[in-house]
Amino acid sequence: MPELGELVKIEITKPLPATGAIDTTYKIEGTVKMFDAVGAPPWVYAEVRRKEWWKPEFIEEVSYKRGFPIPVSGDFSIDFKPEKESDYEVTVIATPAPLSLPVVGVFPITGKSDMMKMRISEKPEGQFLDLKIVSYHKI
Amino acid sequence: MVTKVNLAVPPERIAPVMPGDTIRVITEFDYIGPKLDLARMITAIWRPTLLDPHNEIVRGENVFNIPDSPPPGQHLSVTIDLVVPEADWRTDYGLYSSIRDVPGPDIYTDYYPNLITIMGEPLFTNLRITSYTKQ
Repeated sequence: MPELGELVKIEITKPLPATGAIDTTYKIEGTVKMFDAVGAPPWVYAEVRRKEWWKPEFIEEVSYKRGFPIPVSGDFSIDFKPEKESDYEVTVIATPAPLSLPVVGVFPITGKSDMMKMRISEKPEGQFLDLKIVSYHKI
Repeated sequence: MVTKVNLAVPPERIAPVMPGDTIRVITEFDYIGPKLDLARMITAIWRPTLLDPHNEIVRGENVFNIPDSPPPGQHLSVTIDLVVPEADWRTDYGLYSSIRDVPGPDIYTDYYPNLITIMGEPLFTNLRITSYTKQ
């Protein structure tokens, strides 16, 4: 008999990159499948932990981004748009019921993906190089 | 007289243009960086005057989006059509382009001088009867 946290298998097909920039939208894609169970697909959320070295884990900033699994295939995608410069740990979790956001926690958890670490830094300024008029003609 | 000028090769001039003609200007650049929405390219015909060394007689613009461009970046091209306005009949009109509405200062091409001749409307002056005789 699988434990509660193993009822749902979450496979990440497009993980987050290791580094990124603030105010940029990153997409997590994957599939969610239920073991030995029938019924509606579970709800998936990305649990986003903002890591600050001086804060103990229990007071870390945690937020949840909701994903929408497609029935039958279980494919889902979740948008993650970090707004602060920091290290983040992101885990996709599954739960049997929708929850209003924001929430303090999601319970019960019926599946969990591997955790993805991401370092977010300042948005780099773009560089424009070699701007020139290359041609002109009468039309 | 050439009809299209490639500024990558030694400069030539297009045939003189008239008010109402359209000149198509192609500006290119390389970009490395995050995506930018609603950047604006402007291109103008100008000529030097006493008050303004780059006095614009007409300006066109094109709003465009730049996709995410991680290193090595990408090469982008923007086309702008300029309708030649009523202007003095001169041979020293130039072109320049600039990228606006992006983070940081505006970015300019060189001011390219002496590229375009604009012919004014045909001008009839000093019309008079100079003599009359019995045949």
